[in-house]
Amino acid sequence: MAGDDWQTWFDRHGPALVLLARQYVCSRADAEDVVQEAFIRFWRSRERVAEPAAYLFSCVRGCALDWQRSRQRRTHREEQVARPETESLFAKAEQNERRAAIDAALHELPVEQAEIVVMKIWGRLSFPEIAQALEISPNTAASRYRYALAKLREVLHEEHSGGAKL
Amino acid sequence: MNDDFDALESELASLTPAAPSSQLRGRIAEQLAAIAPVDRKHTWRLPLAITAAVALAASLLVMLLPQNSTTFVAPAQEFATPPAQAFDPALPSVWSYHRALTGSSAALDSLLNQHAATRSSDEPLSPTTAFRSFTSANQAALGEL
Repeated sequence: MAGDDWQTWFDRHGPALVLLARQYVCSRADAEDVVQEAFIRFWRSRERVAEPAAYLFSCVRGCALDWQRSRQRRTHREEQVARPETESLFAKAEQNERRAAIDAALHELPVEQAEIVVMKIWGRLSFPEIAQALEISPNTAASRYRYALAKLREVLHEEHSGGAKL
Repeated sequence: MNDDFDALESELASLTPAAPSSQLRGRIAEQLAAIAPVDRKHTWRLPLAITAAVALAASLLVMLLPQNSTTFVAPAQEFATPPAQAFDPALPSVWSYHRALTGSSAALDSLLNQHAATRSSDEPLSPTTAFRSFTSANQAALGEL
């Protein structure tokens, strides 16, 4: 594979990988620990898989789930309530209010929808690749993505309307 | 609805996820640097192990093959019988008795007498019969049973 060095892979996918890990763990530091373990796992066995990009994201998901199990964490939603995350998921150069609204809307999604949005939008994976990473059918991946976008649109619209009223 | 989705997707895609920290990059670089020599060592050892195994198997084959050929040849030499002796009707043999049996009981009696005379010519011959003759009296006795 051209440009097959780990820095290229990390530069291309690193931000999306951390964002994906944040869907399962409650702090950025934990998310980076998960990404570190997943990336090493990916790099050592990348040549044995047909779709390396899909495998990389599935490694992050697998490590995050292992992390949850090993620490006997509660579900993502319970963690959100117990320890609300104040750090933004996105770079600070964006418009602050809209970025914060999207942050919040993404947190509102069930994890099985949020992970697909992250893989599709920021990981730039196709539905077959997402399906492979999550071990589901491409149709299921596509329908979950549509549900997620509908939910995001609804939440963002409500927040926008509420803000206008204020 | 599709337009709404497209607009939303575009807006989401325009946001850039926060970049990983430089500490994360440093930790990964350190860990991969520690792993790489181990991987190279394993890559070098595998062909060596395969070559050694093949060489060992070839040596064993070379050592075992001559012993196997001797084992197969020896019994044939040990039990070989000359054909002239095996098919001589004057000598008692499976072949001569089989031939007499397929003929008649008289032929078998004759052969037995001949062989008895051949083995001990000093002893008096006592003619024997291999089978009782099948008479109507015997048949009646069998019927009574």
